[in-house]
Amino acid sequence: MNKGSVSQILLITDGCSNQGEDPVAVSRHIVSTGVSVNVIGVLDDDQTEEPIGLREVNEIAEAGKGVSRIVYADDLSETMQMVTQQAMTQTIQGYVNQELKSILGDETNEEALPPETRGEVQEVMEDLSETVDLNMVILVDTSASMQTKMSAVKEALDDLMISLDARQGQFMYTVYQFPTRKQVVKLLLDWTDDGKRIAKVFPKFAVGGITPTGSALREAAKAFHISEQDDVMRGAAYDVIDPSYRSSS
Amino acid sequence: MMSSIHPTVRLANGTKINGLWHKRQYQIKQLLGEGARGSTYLVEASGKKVALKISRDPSVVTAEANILKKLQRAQSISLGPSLIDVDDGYLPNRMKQSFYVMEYVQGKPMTTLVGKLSLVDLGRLMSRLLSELHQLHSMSYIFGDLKLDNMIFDDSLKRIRLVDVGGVTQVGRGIREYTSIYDRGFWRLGGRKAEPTYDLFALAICLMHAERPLKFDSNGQQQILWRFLSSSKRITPFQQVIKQALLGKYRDALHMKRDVDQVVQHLIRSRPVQQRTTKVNNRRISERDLITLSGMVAFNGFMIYILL
Repeated sequence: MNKGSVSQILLITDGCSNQGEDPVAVSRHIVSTGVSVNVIGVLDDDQTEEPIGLREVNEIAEAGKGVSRIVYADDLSETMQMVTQQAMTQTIQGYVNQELKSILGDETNEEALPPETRGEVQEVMEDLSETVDLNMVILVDTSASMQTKMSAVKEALDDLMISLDARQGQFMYTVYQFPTRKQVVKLLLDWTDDGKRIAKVFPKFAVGGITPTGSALREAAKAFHISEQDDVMRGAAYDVIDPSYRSSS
Repeated sequence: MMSSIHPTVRLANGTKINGLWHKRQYQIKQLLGEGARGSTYLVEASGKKVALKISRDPSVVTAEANILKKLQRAQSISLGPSLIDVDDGYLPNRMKQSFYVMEYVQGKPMTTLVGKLSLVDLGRLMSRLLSELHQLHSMSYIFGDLKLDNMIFDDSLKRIRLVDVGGVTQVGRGIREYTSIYDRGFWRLGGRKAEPTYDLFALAICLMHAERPLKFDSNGQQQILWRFLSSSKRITPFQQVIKQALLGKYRDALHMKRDVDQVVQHLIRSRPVQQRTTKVNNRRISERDLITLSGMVAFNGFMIYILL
């Protein structure tokens, strides 16, 4: 098998939600539709420890079978690349372990195999994570406190595109921001495979005091369904590798 | 960086790990290094010193062991340590963890040596490394995370050995392990697709460190590189080679090696003349230096004789 697709949401935020739905519950719902939720929490330069508000970041990702990291703006570039990659690997690992169980019995997972066989399984997983199509919704928190970190976010997303462009599998992404004055989320860039376009959509920002993270997640996740109908995103219709398989390891 | 799961595994000196599959025992002697993918220890196994890499993420162990196996087929000792064992073991905290065991590469870190070596010696080492990289590239692999921190100067073999193979990538795939300053994507001078030019770019950055450690802006402005290069003094003879490699002009490692060799030859040819003048002006040149010098002049003449 070398065709299939992985769907992810990447949420970039710097604080806890203070309005609307519970983002952890929303995240749990989203993963049941075959989409994993990854979260990057951005710290202020003068924050020396993880603020309590940012704990939510880990909880959202855990509920969404995704990966989370809390970092300073300067470390964003390498973090985004790592989170995206790791989340994809996790989804595929979960999928492969599930397949192994169905072939070899309930107690089997990759680690129960002898090191030699494990090496072969690893190669299959590496092949898969290089060749599967990746569909990603990028959701950026643009509330007032994020303003100073925006240029770092922009740089990091631009850098992420360089990594994703280098993969063999197809890559499609769309960008949303929240909050905005009238809507919960605003579409900044519709589904595209052109990594260069992300740099151009970024100057337009609204500022808001509220952070309705849960509602924003729910709205942004709809992008995966819209595109199925529009047939814009070719990957979504077949062989979605479901992240909810992921083992707890 | 704060993160939810750390791949490093802390083990006290003296801890014993028993391999569950291959039944060998390893005793921890000393921590050699910790990284984003795990920890490496100096260990003892039946009286021999070897290195053991352990990670909370078992796929790191499996993936790196896979690469080391492939490199062994290249039969090039510079490209990576030789693989000795891959196994699982219980740690004192009763957690089962995967690890692999490899040859312990001893020597001096290139991070400190790069500024101390003569340009001729540095050029020769790089030339050698380029041959070996070419061999790797011919096998359709790219080293990926090529940097001074991953290079050790092996005293007994008199050559550079590469020690961390986490970035080795099949040609045509995306590079996943890299270090910003050595990464052409970071400087917006190319993509992250694995191809020979990717390694050559990183090697050029290594050479630039012979001038002085490269400091950089967080957003990787290209001009910083060019300004650094044009204002450089010590590495001036390598300026053109470095520039070509940064721009991706070398089709393969052998083309870059040819130019490095030319610079080295040129340096050797011009050295005696320069030093003869110094001898007249100050008397600090010792007799030993003179013997070396005359030896080199003789060798040079010999080489020219052969080449002609």
